[in-house]
Amino acid sequence: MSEKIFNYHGKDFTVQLNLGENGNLIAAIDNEETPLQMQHIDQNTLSFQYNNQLYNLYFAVDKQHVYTFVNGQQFIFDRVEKDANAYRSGDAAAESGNEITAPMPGKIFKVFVQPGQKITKNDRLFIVEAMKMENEVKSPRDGEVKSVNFNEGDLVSVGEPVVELLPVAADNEKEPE
Amino acid sequence: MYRIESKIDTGSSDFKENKAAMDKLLDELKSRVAEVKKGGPPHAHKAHESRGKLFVRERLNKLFDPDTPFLEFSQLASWDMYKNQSPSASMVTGVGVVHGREVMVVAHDATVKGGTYFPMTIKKHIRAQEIAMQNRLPCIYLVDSGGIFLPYQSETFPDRDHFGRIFFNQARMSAEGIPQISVVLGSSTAGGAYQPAMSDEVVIVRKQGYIYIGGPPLVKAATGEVVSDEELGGGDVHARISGVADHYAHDEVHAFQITRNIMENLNLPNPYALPRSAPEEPYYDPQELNGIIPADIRKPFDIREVIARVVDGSRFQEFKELYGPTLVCGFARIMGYPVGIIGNNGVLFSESSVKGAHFINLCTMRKIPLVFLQNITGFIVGKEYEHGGIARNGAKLVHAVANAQVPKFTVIVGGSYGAGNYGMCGRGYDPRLLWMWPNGRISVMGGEQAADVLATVKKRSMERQGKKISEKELQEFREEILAKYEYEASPYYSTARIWDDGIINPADTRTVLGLGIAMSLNAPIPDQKFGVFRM
Amino acid sequence: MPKKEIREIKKILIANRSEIAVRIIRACREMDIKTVAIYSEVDAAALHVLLADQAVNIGAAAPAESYLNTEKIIRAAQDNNCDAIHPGYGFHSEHGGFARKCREAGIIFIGPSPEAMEMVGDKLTARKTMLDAGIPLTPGMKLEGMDKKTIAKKATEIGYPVMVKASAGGGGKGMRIVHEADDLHAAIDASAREAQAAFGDGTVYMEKFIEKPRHIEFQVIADNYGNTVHLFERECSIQRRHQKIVEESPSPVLTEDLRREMGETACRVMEAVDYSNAGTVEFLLDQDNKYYFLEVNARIQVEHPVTEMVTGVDLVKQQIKIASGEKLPFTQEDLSQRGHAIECRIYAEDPQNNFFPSIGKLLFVKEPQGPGIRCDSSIYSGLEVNMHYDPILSKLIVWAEDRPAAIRKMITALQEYVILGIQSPVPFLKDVVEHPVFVSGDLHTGFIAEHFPHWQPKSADGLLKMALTAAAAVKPAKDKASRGEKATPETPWQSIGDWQLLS
Repeated sequence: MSEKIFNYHGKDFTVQLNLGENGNLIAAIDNEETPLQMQHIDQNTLSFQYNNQLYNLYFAVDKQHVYTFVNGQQFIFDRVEKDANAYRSGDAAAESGNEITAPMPGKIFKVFVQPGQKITKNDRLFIVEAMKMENEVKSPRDGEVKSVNFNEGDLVSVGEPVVELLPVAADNEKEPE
Repeated sequence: MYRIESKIDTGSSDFKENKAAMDKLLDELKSRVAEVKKGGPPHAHKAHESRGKLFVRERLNKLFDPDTPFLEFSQLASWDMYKNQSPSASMVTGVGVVHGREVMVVAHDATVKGGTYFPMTIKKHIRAQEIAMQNRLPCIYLVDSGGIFLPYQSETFPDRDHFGRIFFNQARMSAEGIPQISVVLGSSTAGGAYQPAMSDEVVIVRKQGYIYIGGPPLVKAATGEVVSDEELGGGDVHARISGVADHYAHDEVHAFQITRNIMENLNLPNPYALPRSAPEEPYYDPQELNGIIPADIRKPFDIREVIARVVDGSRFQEFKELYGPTLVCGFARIMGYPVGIIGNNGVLFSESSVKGAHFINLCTMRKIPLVFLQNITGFIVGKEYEHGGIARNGAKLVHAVANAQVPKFTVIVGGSYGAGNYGMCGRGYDPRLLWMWPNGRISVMGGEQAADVLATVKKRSMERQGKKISEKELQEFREEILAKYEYEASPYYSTARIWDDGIINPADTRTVLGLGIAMSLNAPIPDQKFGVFRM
Repeated sequence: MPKKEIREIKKILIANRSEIAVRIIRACREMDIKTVAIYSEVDAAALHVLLADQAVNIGAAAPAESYLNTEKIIRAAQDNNCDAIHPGYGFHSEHGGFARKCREAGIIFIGPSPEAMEMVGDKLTARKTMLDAGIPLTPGMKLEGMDKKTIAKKATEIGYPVMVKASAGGGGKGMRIVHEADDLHAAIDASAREAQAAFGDGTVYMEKFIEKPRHIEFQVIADNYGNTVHLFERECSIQRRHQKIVEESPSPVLTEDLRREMGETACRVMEAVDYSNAGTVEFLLDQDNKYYFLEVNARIQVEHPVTEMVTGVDLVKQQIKIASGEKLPFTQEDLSQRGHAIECRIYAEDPQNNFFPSIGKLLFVKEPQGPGIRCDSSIYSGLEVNMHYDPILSKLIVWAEDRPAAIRKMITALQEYVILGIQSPVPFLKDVVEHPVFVSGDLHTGFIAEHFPHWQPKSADGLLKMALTAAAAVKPAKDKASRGEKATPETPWQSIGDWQLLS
């Protein structure tokens, strides 16, 4: 399996090498395909043919880096572990969810936000009072309040959306609502 | 160890002719594999892509460690079956590496009839699970399937090794501590819903993965309830409400990151420590195998020439070289692992059978994996040999093979006929992996012998009925049989029905064996146990 | 004054390291002179150690313990029967004390006499000597005790712009550049206040401010018999943080007349201090082609090869010959410049990160070749570059028939100079010599600061794609088993790499 991730100047590149039907190499870099020819010359040299031009590319590796030099330009890449940047399911959920729901049945004790209000992650949204406990609900992400569905003193059941946020832009594109 | 001295002249015309013939077979094989790797038809690819989903091989690339091999199984399963509607039997199975450990992956290809199960899909899935079970490999299921392909329901649903066996195997493996992980990347419907549900841990991709026992159309038909996929069994439902899924992934890339994290925390025991020496490339170039194997399957070749191009340094310590010479036995190393090699140099006689049983006994005693290189027309026949007890002696070999619990690997490098297949660890004898070369042939007997036998039987039966059969009719009959045998003995016929784990390039023999042995060491090697050898 | 006699030199101790030590060893080899290298603990595998006839471990990494340890160096020379010590550049090369100790120990110091060295080494003494000898200096004076009117008059004499700075210190504290008379007194007051605050001494110094000066220096060589010649100029205006990085000869700006005049001046400077052996007289040249004496470098210079390339004189060999008492084999009339030479210094430093040192193991080195390409190098694949010393790795020198051809040759050579494992300065140097202003020859010492304030490598999409492809195609280096530990072979799953059936 050949898919790898490299960091160059603070940017991650996902690289996947495939053989094309004519035996040429196809490098898919961030899903953009580039056909080229590559030949191993020795343990530090590769010969490339790219856009009908030959290049000698020199390389060396250590555990963490790949050093390359071609045409007087140097590129030093940092290897990135595939799952090094994995994030928590909860973060993913937070990014996606627009509805902030009551964590348990109870009474809306306090609402801190109003429709149209801009909020940042971890801002207090509302408090549900139940079982003699006040449960504070915070915003899982930055955004803007679309609606507040309950008034202070209302009773809510678990899972009912108390505050709705405007969807994030990426979601809009993916799933028009 | 002694280095085998090759007698092959790579400049000879024989070599060139053989090579030309094998290269042709290989080209055909490669083009067929390339064809099935494409998966379903272009319109299905387009639809798949438009949903923002990755193709099955892209998924594997995201899952596995970089710079590691992927040992794929049954690439040509269901070749020339089902009007070729199910290339690769609609799924990819194989062993790859995640966080340094070998794992079995079973991945649906949703571009092939929505990833639905044809009969061979089930066989392929169960074969992958069997390999996982025997070698104690964690299983990762990349789920994207509409369940059973309904036109073939009778061949897929009720029998012992049909659809239900998949979940049975999951439960059994889970009980044995072989982790079962599902990554739901598409639909997982009806019976298919049990695949994630039966897993130890489940990852689901939001707004892409769906799990339900009955899909929206079925729900509407059954109860009148109108519900969307998402509301019925989407990622949010299963991660937040039902608890069917354990990990909620933002997208596929995230799903594979989570899956890799899961693998990181399996706390797998260390593999069995088979004493190993430093690996060494064979002295003779494995590429030369193409010129060694005669183009005509009836021509014999010295199996040592094959061994010399498979084992470390081409070094081989032969056992009982002068006794029962039609079966070559000896010790060698493959990629540093000790192996006992058994290869055919002709028909099996009593002496060769007993020698083979003895050698297997040595290997099971010493816990050395066995490699069978099959090129066998069968056990010897004739009065003298029956009197000499060939049945009894052949049985010793079959008994030893059957009960040898060291990892066994079989490669069919030529013919595989009759009971020879059994004595040389055919499919029925549970080799961990069984590979076929593109020149391999497999059938109960050779086509010509079968045609002769059947023609004789036919002639006699006609004569008994007082009818006569003309020579012409008999010849036609014979040719019909020959054609049928020719077709059915083909490695493609075998591999389509998953009688083997794949057809390989002869030059890759060493690689697949090395990977296989290393993989097999995830399971301990038990002490030897044999039954009654008829002496 | 060195003795006027011939003393045969059969063995030399090289009291230096890196490329200059290698350069000296090679000269000695050609002259059939044995060499003794010295090295510190961290330099045991350095190239100069590998090339010398003998090598002496001189102590710990810290320069004071090793390359600056006078006692140990002289003892090593004595123990190994060395006739002479070559100090190279840096380290002990301009320490009169060291040269004197050598003399006391009966060892020839290959360089000027300690007396001459000391005379040019002290800036104030040197300035006074040069004034007395009528050498043009940047006009300037202390302003202590002068009234405002006098100061204004002096400033007009010097010519605007002038620079006002604290007498007591450096670091830019209290420094003011004054372009017209109206601003002068305010600047002096401000400067004095700052100087008082920073150094407790409000004394202010005023001198001519030379805008966009060029750094032009003349190579001089003199024997022990009073013969002094110059080997023309080097232009070293391309500097970063006052460190030269690109040098060339001839200067694109000197006329024949100016060259002759400056060369004669340089010889006069050296004669004024009774200088022998090779040395360099540095000048600043202003935009009106007026030159001012800066200082004398009483040693072989880093950039000496460009002079060698255009004059055909081997300076290191001449140094040795002069030190052994030989007379100069040529007169001024024998010398001429032919073609054009450029040198780029290859430092282990990161041009993207303020030229901070970039150390580590050189995983792969491949040096350029071809007609007119010279590489004075101290590196090889596998060498560990340490942080204890000047980070010079090598010097790339090219020679061609004229300046444009030399620039093209330098670009081509740089493209073939592969140094992997650290941040290579090569791409930066290539950008410098390719720069249109460099090509035009319009140079000054602020060139790098002006044109490359925050250098970043060019974005080259195609090259990046190939580089990423290469990165993906090669496997990472593996951990080596530590000594004594038996390496467990990797399983085929780890060792085979990216492989699939029939693909």
